Amino acid sequence: MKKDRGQFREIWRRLRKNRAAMIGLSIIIVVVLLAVFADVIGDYHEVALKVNTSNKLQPPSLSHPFGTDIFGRDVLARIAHGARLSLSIALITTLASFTIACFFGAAVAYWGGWFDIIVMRICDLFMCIPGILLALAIIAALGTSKVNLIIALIIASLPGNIRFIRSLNLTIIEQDYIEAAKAYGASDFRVIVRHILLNALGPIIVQATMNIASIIISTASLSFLGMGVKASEPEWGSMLAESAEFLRTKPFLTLIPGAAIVFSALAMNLLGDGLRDALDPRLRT
Amino acid sequence: MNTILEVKDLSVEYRTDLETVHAVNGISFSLHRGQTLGLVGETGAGKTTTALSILRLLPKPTGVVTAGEILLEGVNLLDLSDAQMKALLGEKMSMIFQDPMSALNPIMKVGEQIAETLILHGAPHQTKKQVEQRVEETLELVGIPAFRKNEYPHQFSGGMKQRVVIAIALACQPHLLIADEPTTALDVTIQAQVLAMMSELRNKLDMSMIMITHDLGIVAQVCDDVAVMYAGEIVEYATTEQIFSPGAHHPYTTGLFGSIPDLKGGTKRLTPIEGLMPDPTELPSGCKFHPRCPHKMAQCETVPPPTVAFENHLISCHLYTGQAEGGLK
Amino acid sequence: MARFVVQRILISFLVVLGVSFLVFAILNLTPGDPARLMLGQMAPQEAVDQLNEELGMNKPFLQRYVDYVWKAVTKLDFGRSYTTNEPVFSEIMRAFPKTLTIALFSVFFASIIGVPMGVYSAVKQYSAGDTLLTVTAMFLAAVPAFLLGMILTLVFSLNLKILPNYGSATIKHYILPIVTVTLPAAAALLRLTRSTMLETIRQDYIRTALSKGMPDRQVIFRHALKNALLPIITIMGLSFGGLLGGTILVEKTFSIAGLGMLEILAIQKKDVPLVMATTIFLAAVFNMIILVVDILYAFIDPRIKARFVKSRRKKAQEALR
Repeated sequence: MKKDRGQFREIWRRLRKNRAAMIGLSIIIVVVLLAVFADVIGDYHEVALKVNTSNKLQPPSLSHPFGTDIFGRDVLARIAHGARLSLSIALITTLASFTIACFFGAAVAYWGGWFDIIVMRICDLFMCIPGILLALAIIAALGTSKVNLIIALIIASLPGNIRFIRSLNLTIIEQDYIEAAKAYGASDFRVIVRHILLNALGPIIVQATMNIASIIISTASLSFLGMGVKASEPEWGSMLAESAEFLRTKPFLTLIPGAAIVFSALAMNLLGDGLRDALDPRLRT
Repeated sequence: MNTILEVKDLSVEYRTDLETVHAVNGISFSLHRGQTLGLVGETGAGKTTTALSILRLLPKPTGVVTAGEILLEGVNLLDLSDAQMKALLGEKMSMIFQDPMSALNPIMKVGEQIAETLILHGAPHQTKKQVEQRVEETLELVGIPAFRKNEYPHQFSGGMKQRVVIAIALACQPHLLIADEPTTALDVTIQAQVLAMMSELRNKLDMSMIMITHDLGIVAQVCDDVAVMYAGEIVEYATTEQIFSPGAHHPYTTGLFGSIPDLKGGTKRLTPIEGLMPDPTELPSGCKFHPRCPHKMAQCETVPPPTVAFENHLISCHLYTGQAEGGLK
Repeated sequence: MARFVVQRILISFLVVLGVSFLVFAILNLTPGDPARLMLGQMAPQEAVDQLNEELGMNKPFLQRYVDYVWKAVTKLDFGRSYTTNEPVFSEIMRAFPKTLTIALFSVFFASIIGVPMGVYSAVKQYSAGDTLLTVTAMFLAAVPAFLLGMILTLVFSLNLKILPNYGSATIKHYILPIVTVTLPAAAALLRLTRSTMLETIRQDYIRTALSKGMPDRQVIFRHALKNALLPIITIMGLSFGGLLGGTILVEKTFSIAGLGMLEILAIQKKDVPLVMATTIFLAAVFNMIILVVDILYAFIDPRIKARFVKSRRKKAQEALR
C-alpha cells in the first residue's frame, strides 16, 4: 500500500510539470465549483427556470453578469446549473459504461472462446452505427427524458469501451504473472480483479477522462437536437438551440454556453493527455 | 598500425524537460584496421549510446553530444554537415541493431532494402542490373539463396532476418561495422552460426568492428580488445587475453567476470555484484562504482579515480595508484 | 485481390443486414401503439385494431423483421410514413443526395487536409508549426459541430454576408456545412496521423534506413509514411462515424432537408418507419465509407494475403483457449 502511495506521488509530480494538463485541471475545478455552488449563484426554480419576460434579453450588468435570455432568465445561473447537469450526466454515464465494460471486457479476454466471439461480434455490429445515430434511435424508442438520455449514451459508448478494455486485458493476460497467479490457485474472480483490471487501471482512467469529454459534447449535441433533456432545462446544448434565432443581435447568448461546452471538453482532454503522459513517460508524444 | 576510429573524451547526455541523463561521461578509445573491440557492460552502461553517437543517430532532440571528438580515418564526425555525414553512413561505416525482428521494414522486399544502400552510395551510373547483381552477391555472402530477394521480412526466420540486416550493413563493404548485441535476440545455436559468419566476413572484407555485448562468451570468441563500461565510463581497457587472465583488474570487471560459472573451477560459487547501477540522472561523486565496490576506500567517494596503465592495459581505480609500470597516464 | 474485394463487399451487406436487425429491435421496444399514433386519440378502437392488423403488428417479432427486410429488398418498400402516409423510400431518396454530398465531400477534404498536416506535425515535432497545429486540433476536437456551424454562420453569413446560412438551393449553400463537418474531422485525423507517425518514426527499421545514410526526407516518405498509413487507414474509417454524426447536427443547424433532418423530425413525430429507414440508410452510408477505406488498405499492404491467413490462425488460437 505504501508503495502505491509513492507511485501516486510520482505520477502527480510528473502531472504537475505538464502545463497543459494543469490548465485543464484548473478549468475542471472552476466548472466543478460552478456546479457545486449553482444554488448559491441562483436558485434553480426561481432564477434558472422561472420565466420573467419583463426582464428579457438584458445586457450584462451587476445583477446579471452574463445578461438574461429571451425568457428573462439569468444566463450565469443557467450556465452554473448546466454545469451541474452536464457533469452529473457525464459522470454517471462514464462510470456506468466503464463498470459494465470492465466486467465484459475482462471476462471475454479471460475466458475467450465462443463467449468472446459472440460478445465481440455484437460490439462490432453496434460500432457500425455511428454513436450519435445509435443514441438517437434508442431515444426514439424510449422517448426523450434525462434517464433515457443517460441510457442511450451508456449503450452508445459501451461497445467501444468493451473493445478497448478487452484489448488492454489481452496484453496483460499474456504476461507471466497471470500464469503464476493461476498456478498458485487464485480464483478466476481474483485473477481478473486483482491482477488484470488493477494493472489496466491507468489506461482505463485516461480513457474514462477522455470519455467524459465526449459525453459532454454528445449531451449538448442531443439536447441541441431536442433529443436530450427537456427544452426548458438549463442544458448548455438546449441554451444554444434557443439562442439560434438571436445569433446576429445577441451573439453572446450563443458564445457563452458554447464556451462552457468547449472549455469543459477541452479541459477533460488536456487532463486525459497529461495523465497518459504522466502514467507512462516513455509514450510521450 | 593505422587507426581507423578514435574516440576522444566523448560525453553524451539525454535531456528532457524533466531530467538530464548522463549516459556517456568522457570516454576515449581507438580502433585499428581489422581489429575488433568489445564494449562490455550491464544494460544502461552507455554502450548503445556510444555507438549511436559515433553514427550520429542519437534520438533528436533529446540526445546531445556535450564534449569530445569522434575521428573516423582522421575526420572529426561531429564537425561534418548532415549531408557529409549521410555520405559516410552505410558507405564507410554501418551498424547492426539488436532486434532483427523489427529492424527490417515489414512492407518492403528484402532485396529492395539491400538495394537502397547500394543505390545511395553506388557509382552514379550503375544500371538496375548491376544493382540487382550486387544484391544477389550480398545475399549469398551472408548465406541466403539469391532467389529470396523478392520475399518480405515476415517470410524469414529470426536468424535469417539478422543475416539480411547484416547484408544491408555490408552491402557497400564498410570499413567499420558496429554490431549492437547482434545475437541477443536469437536462439543459441543460431547465435553461434551468425557470430562465426560475422568473424569470417570481417576477415574477408578487412573490416574493423565494435561488438557491443554483455555476453563474455562472445567477447572471447570474436574480440581482440575489450572496453568494460560502467555508468558511462570505461573502467578498464585491455586485450581479450589480459581481461580473461588473473592479475590486476577493476573491481567491477572482477565482479562481472565472477558472475560467469567456471567449469574448471569445480564448485566455485557465483559472486554476483551487490547493488544496482546508479541512477544516471544523479551519478555518485568520485568513483561511480564506489557504492557497490567491495574494496571501497575513503577517497573513492570524493576523488575521481586516475587511469592507471600497465603497458596497454588501462584501469581506472584508486587501488592501483602508483603501481603502474608505465607510470600514470 | 478480386476475391478480397468481393468478400469484403459481401461482409458489408451482412453488416448492414445486422445493423437493420439491431435498429428494428431497438425501435420495436417503443411502448407506443403505431395505429393509435396514426389515427389519433379520438379514433375508435376497432379502426385501430384493424390498422394494426394491416400493418402486421400482431405477428411475432421475427416474422415482422423478415417481412420488413423482404419487402425492402425486393420492392424497395420500407413502409409508409405514419405522418405523411407517403412511401418512406421516396422521402429518403429526396433527402439522401444532400446528406451524401455533405458526407463525401467532408470525408474527401478531411483526408486531404488532416493526413498531410499530421505528417508535417510529426516530422517537425516540437516546432512552432507543430504546436500551432496540435493546439488548433485539440481545440477543434472539443467544439461540437452545431456550435462551429453557428460561429461560422455568425462570421460568414451574418457579419460578412458572403455565404448563405439556410437551405440547400445552390452549391454556395453547401460551403459552410461542408466546412463545419470537415474541420473537426480533419482535426481528429491530424491527431491520429501525428501520433501514428511519431510511433512509426521510433521503429527500429527507421533507424536501419537512417544508418544506410538515407536522407531524412527519403526515410520519411519511403519508410515511415507508408508504414504509418496502414494503421491510419484502419482507424480512419471508424473515425468517420463522428463525421456522420456531425452531418446530422449540421443539417439541423443549416436547415438542410437531408437524412439527419428527416430523422430528427421523424423522431419528434414518433414516425417509426421513417426513423427506422433513415437510421439504416445513414448506417449504410457509414459502412460504405468503411468499405472503401478497407479496400484502399488492401491495395497498400502487400501482406494482406498473409494477414488473412494469420488472422484466421490467430482467431483459431483464441477460440481454442
